[in-house]
Amino acid sequence: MPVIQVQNLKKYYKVHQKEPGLSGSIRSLFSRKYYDAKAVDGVSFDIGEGELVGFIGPNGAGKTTTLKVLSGLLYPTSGTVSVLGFTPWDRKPEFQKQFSLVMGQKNQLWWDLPAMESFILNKEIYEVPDAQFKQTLDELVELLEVKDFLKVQVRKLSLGQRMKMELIAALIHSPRILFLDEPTIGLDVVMQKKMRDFIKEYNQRFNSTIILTSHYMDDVKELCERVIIIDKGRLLFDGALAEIIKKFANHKLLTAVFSEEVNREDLEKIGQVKEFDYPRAVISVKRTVASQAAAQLLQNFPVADLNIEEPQIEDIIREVFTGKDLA
Amino acid sequence: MRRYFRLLYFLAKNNLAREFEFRSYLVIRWLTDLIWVALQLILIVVFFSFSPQILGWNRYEIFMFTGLFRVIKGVFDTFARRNIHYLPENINRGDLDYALTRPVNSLFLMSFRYHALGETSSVVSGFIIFIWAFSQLGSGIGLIQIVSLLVLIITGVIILYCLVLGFAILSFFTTRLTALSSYYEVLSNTLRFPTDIYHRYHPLLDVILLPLVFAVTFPTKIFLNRLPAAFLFLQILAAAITLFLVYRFWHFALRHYSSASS
Repeated sequence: MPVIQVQNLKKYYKVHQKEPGLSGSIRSLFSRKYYDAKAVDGVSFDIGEGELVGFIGPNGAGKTTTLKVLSGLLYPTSGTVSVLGFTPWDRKPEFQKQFSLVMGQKNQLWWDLPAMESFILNKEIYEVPDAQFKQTLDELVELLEVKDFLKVQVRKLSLGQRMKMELIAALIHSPRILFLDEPTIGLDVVMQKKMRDFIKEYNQRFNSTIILTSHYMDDVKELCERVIIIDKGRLLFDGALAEIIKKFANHKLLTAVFSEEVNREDLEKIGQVKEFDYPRAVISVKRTVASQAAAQLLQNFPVADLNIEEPQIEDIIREVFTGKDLA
Repeated sequence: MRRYFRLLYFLAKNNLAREFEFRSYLVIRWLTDLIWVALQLILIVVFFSFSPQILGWNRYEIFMFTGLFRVIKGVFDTFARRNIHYLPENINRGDLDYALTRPVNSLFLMSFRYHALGETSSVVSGFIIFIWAFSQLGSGIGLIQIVSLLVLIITGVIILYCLVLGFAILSFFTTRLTALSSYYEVLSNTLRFPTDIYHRYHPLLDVILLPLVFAVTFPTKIFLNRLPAAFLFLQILAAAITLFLVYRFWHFALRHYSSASS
């Protein structure tokens, strides 16, 4: 039984168009032309309990809008959504007590007070019993290694420490569903890694369902077995990360190391030369002819070493989003 | 209800801790308020040096009015003003997300999240002026009067809160509402004096000012027995209806909340 069900979700915004210049501004005072900006345009998916799903897409793809509909912040234009059996935008307290929305760019902690005060306030807001509060807090503090910072004012914490505190504040009521919108944004690589480890551990330990959006492919690669790709409000892909390669990559990469100098133009006959830096070259060839191309390369060039590889997921996704030919 | 009082207590605790971080600001706020009170009182004394009665109010009644005005405005300023002041900005920047995802009434959280303790100076000075002026009138005070005074203050605060909030909610539709602070300034300057002074000019003005009479003028008059006791119920009814309407308006407006992109 899925905990999140989304069917044909659409969210359109009315946006008014303005002609450039002063005359355009004056005209827009009296009559405005509106058009529908399709933030989300017919998206459907189900998510089961305990799944950790990555939501990826370029800026403005509709990821955050989808999360906001799922957490009840926005009313959709059409479509049905059920989260834990609730319709999110009814904003029932029983529903709100079971999820948490963390946005990397927004904070909910009291800036001038130690984070502990915000946790206590959240305990009241979510009506968490004393014993459960203490246990959850101890567990989270230990997992995130922030024991020494609980009594330090939030404004004096580093960005990484603050993000950890934000997570504790968001998790103090032990939500069953967690929406993480770019939780690692702005963090250094070490802190990003720690955050990822925590998210993974949290998901496994508490079997909570997590939807994560991120611009960092490392987040998605390391955490999510399943990814949903959205672009221009539409769902491009929903499945295992490895499946992305099968579906979108119709090319492979031949990496060759040569024992003698070769001519770049000659290599172009085999495929598209992506990198050429003697003695190494990377050539992109169509999937279907990869083995023939490899044989050709071995036959006609002084090859010392040859590798046939799948392209990087980052590259595939970037190419999907830029609408390039994937050859 | 109990839960919300408890929440208010925890919010007040956090706010107290935060404001004590800035002690000097508190002292300055109290001092400037003291000067402001003094000027206001001098103004009243000057007015009444020309005539013992103005529009049926004597000097001590106007002092009481001023005291009550300061108490009502002070309570509003302490608990809600800052939050409502930032409401348009919060709507514009999508910061309402915070309140809308919590299992607590969103209007409560958006109205009473941050307090401004410096404004309590107005409540304290208002009470002192009110009690002093009342004692000068020489009438005694009983339990019923104390209870009705409390009711009058609460309903006055509710009316003021609704008048400001109702305007601020417009920002759901306009996205920007820079007029809010000047609106509040005009509103509080109008409320500083009994609405009687506007009655003689144009009937239309009476209609426009009708909601305003419930903020301070009626409460003072009811307490002074210058209006029949039944007006206490009218006052309660007016506060309840206004609160209900603004609450409905809030929920209607929430449907227009578009958050902000990340």
